[in-house]
Amino acid sequence: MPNSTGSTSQSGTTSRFAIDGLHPGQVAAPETVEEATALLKEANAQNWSVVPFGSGSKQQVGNALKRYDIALSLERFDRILEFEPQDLVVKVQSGCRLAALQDCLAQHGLYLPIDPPWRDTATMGGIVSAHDSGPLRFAHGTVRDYLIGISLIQPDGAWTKFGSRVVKNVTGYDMCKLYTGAFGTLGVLLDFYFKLKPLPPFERTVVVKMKGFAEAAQAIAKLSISSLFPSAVEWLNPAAFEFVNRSLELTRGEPGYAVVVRFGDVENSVQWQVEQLEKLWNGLTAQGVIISDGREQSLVWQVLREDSPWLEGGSSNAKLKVNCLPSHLAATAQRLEAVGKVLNAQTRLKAHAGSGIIRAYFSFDASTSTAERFPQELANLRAALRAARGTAIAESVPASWKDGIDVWGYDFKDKALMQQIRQQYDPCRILNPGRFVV
Amino acid sequence: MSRPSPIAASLRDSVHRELASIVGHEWVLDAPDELIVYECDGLTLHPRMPDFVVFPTSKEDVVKIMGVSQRHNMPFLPRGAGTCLSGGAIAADGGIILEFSRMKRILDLDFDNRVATVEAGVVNLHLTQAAKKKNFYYAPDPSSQMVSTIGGNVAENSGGPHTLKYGVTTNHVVALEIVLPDSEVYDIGTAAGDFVGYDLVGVFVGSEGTFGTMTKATVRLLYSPPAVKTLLAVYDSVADATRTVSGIIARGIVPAALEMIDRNTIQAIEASVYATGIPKDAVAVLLIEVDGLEASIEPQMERVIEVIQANHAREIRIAKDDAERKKLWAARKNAFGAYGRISANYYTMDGVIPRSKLPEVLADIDALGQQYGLRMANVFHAGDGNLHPIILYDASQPGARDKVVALAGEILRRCVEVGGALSGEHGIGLEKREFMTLFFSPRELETMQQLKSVFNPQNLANPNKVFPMRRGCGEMPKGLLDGADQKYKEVDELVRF
Repeated sequence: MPNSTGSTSQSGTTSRFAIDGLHPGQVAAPETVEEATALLKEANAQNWSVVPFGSGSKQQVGNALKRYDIALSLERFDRILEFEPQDLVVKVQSGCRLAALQDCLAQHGLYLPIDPPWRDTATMGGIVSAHDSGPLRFAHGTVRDYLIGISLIQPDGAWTKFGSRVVKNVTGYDMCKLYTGAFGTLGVLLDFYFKLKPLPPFERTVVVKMKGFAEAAQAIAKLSISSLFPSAVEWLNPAAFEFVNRSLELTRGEPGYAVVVRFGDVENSVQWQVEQLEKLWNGLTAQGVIISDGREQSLVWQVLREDSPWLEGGSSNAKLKVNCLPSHLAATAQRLEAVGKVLNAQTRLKAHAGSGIIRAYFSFDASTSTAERFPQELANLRAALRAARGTAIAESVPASWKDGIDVWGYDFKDKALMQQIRQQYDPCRILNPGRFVV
Repeated sequence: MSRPSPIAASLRDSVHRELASIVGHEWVLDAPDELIVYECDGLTLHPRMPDFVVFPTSKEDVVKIMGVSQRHNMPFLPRGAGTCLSGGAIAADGGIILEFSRMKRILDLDFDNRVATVEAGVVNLHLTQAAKKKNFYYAPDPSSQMVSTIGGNVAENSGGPHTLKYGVTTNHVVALEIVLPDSEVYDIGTAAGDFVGYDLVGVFVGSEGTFGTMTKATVRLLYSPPAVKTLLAVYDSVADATRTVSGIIARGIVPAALEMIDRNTIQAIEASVYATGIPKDAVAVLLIEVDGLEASIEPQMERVIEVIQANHAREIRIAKDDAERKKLWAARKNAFGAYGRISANYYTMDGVIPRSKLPEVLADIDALGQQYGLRMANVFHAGDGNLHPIILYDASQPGARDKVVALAGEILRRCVEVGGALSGEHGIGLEKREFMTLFFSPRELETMQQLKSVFNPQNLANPNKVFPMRRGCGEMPKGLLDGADQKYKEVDELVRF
């Protein structure tokens, strides 16, 4: 390893960088662009595989790595480089944690309106690379909609920049989009320009247990064609609602299908919308609670947003991210519950209802579950989703299962174009080999 | 008229025959008097006639037309209404223009999923009109929206006044059906949750027709805000107006639109049928719109008005009803047409700067105009920092055009210097391809060309656009740096090539 790659970790500290049980040969934490560039050049020349590494929160997502020579930690690229509150624009390095960024922005009444899981640990580079999102996507979209400039090191070591600090820009192709959601397979992302929004001055959260499955579906459908502008609309099945309720004690009695709605705007508008929501859902609800306390609201959204606590409890656990048409949400959820029954697994479902995205958490019990049927059930599910261009990603599965399934299961014709893009930019496949677009 | 096409008569005959066999004889144009309509788009500086214009009615037609292009190694480009302002819809290298006016069906208005699926030739405004029945609309609203097509909007990643709050085209497209130059059809993106793999829709939008042809788009529909308030603020100084813009943004208010109109534009509008009674001696006007729920409008308006008053507006006029609001917008959206009344010719530019640099850059542009002895007007998306300086000139005056081109180059350079970019919404096309080296390194240009080569490896789709042609990559366009006399000549060459 060249000396110019910054500090190289001592043996034994690679465990933090292990992915699916695989340890990197080396860990490098460059401090400057020059060091990072030199590292990539060397890696490309030597055909070492490189995994750009933030906090590691989403490193388990993806197919098994083929090779893992170097973990390229971006922990030293953790600064906010420019912040122009009057322009509503920030430039931040990829190793900066979302929480640190949001805290800084909040001091000026601004925020990056995304709320992916791992809020306290996830880095901006990881969030962009995984195109990760949370409940706020209903009103505000995803990080894709806020990324306006990017700098990255290409696999051969060239440092390139696209976009800029202006909020509207069609100078050349929209390369920011190419790197968003590319899971670190096209370059090592170093810094970003994001556009920002003002924090909502007033917020309310409404948690409603519905009378039943059909009523929950109806409630979502009514809301989606109404004149209300919620910032988030989350749907939960009874097992998921019970999980939320267990820590927060929002409603009493039997768990049921629930919908949680968040409003953020000026006070008048929020109050009016909460009243309207009650009218809109008249007859559909079993029990509801309006949360006005700020701390309590943020607890609810933390539980809904976060991921890891949902993945505990079984002897093994798996999580699917299911993409379907919003209008197919109820039917897809029913199908997932049926899958859970076949697998004899506890099945918690939470969904970004307006966006057609369901997270299914399966907890398996070693003695009673039939986890071995998971690959077949996944294949059936994918086949059913296919007609509407829906997909199911096995976002989290025990490492040992990855031999038997394709985590992404993406089998549409345009996959060939993606492979050609990969070939253009990383012909030696040194970045995250095997994990994503191969 | 542009130079006649150099292709041989025998080739012309066989291509004509093949195209006619696909769409019928009457839907293939190749006579010069028919083609002349297609020699330019909204950019009139670089006319070039295509060899053929063909009117497909389906994806299948497009696939077959791609076959003709392939067989004869003849370039092609898709074209909607031809309103592009950067030459994107000009056949820079001759060849075939695919005209999408026969593919204008709205295929599906899916309100449950808040999306619509349309053919490439659907006019932007028609989609909003169709969605209106359920109170939905399509948000991106370029000034050309009465005629421009979704296909063209997707190719150029069009903006518009309301993109300040709602984003540009790319924020509203979820899936596309595309036909690549090798005749292969791909569905990219999805209306079902998130895309998986690389964001092909994200890179296709804004690729200016250089990747291939889009035949179908699935776009988001938004629920129409129940309440809208529009106001005009009249100023005696440009600086006060720009300070108002910065003040509004800095206070964390995001209006739906925040447009600025300068003195020359006011005069042009007031002399036209779109006159709204703006005082003719006003130096600048801001057109500000806030929208949302009834309950959220008033507080927003109050804060906006506070900022306006603090910055010495001499008059604030609030539209009383929808008719008044429409009138204000008609004046804004038709400003470009109105310039014809005050100047023989005009050149509409597009540049973008950080919002906080508005006061300084507007002053610089003014000074540059005076230095070159050219009148300027400005009507632009102030809230986005997206400038549209208009250079007024008389093409019959000797040397006038040279000066216009040189001035335009200076303005673009200034935009880039302050951290801005070459284009906010009009695209690079032919117009600005030589300026790309101001913004990108050779390697960055190569990286973008690598992407293009995946979709369009033989460079048949809209060739000679976006990327610099004349000079070695990395060299600054000379004319922007040299002495004034040299400058006119060089930059003119750059743009005219």
